[in-house]
Amino acid sequence: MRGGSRGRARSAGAGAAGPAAAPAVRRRGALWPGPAPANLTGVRGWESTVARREIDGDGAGPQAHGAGTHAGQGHAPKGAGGEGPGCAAARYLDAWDANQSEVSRLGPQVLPGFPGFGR
Amino acid sequence: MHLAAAAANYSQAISLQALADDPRFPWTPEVKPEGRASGRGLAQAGEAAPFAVAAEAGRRLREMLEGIERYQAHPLRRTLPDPPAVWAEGAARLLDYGLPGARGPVVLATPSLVNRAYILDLHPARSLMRWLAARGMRPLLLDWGLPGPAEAGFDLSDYFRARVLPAAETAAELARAAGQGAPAHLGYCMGGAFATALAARRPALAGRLALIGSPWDFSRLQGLGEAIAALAAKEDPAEVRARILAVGEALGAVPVDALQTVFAALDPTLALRKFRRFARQPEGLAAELFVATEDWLNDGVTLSAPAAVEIATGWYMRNLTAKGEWILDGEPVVPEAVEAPTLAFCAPSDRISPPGCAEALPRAIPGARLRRPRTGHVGMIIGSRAQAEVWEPLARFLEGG
Repeated sequence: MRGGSRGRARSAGAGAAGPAAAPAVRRRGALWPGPAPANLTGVRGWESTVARREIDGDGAGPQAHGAGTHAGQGHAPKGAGGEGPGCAAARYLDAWDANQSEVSRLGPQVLPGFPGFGR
Repeated sequence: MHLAAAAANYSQAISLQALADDPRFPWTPEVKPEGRASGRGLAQAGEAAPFAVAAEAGRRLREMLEGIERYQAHPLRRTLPDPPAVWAEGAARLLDYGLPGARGPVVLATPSLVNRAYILDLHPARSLMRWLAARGMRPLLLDWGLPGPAEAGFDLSDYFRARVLPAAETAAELARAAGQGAPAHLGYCMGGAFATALAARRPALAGRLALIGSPWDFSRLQGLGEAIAALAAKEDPAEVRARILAVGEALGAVPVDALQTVFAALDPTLALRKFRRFARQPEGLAAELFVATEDWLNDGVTLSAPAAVEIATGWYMRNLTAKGEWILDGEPVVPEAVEAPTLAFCAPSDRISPPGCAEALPRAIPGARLRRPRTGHVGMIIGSRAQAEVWEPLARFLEGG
């Protein structure tokens, strides 16, 4: 809710004041202006909390395509023999994330053996 | 939805981890060497591997949640005041960003119907409208507003006839009063289709035409967008039309979440990536712009059902635009008829209007120039490279360069 909450952290305050006290402005993702219907206030997810896009391809760093450095290394338990299971898992999920991003960017037909999409 | 998509995605990753070095694993060519190498690392981890992958996936999902909660709790709210309106009809307003004494050209900006207009005036540090005004121009922003009773039955022809044309005539009057010729037009995203139609039909109202990320040839989408459109193309347009109109009848309009779902499907793990990144991002302008952009994305608009029908079936399913068969207000829209000098910005990283789709429009307009900024669809308006790669060349063009 604009001027109210993006979710739980702020909706506590808005809820204390009650729906009638909410400013008559449009909420995120709402179909109509004004406070949420009483049966929906306080429901997490009533407002859209996450978005569909980012400032794509701009200033986003390596995570723009899901291919960050091994983000899990700092927290990963290391085994005695060098790269521990945690590091190996982080490396695998980095590759997995990058793969998902590539599939989104290029389409599933980029995968070996996947049929194309003739229109 | 985004959390569920991320969790489901990592469930697949966990279940497939033992096969990561298998030549049949569905790695894309670019990722394959690293992916298979990661599989060999997991093999060395032995029985601990699936547990380690599950733990790492859980850690990443927690990081995503931290990013979401940081976004939700962020104190930033857009507080930029709207400038005065020089024209209004129904939900629409024509906002005048010109500063007192502005002598530069009048520029009418037409944004997309499916998002809020204020992306062009998002943040004090990223406001294309205010930046053009500071250069002495008189930018006018066509803010469509939320479709209300006046627009409930509007199709695209209604929007053109009852919103775009009067706004353009108002802009032309202001230009005449300032001793100028026809105003310049800037179309962003699908606003470019309206601006092109206007320039083709009413050359006296459009002295110059600038296009930013305007989709046109829907047979040339890319990635998952192409896959989704290909699947949609197998549907019967009449049935899709009936379904959309039924939604409109039940809810008054096509709801925001329906549109959000389609956009989310273009990159199902994007939310995971960006909120993990945001969780670690230090406070500063970049973080503020992230929050402002997310607020804008989540502040979507409903779409009148007849307009949604035209966009879904006429544009995405039947590609009427590129075929020269898009009928707007009784006539086909013919970009080849545009005589105004035209400059188009089509970004190679644009996933909403990918290059093949967007470049088709300037290619159809005689003499149109094309620039390819190194950014994405929204990045062309508010990204860190926007000023250097889009705003400045755009301003030079609007000023007659």
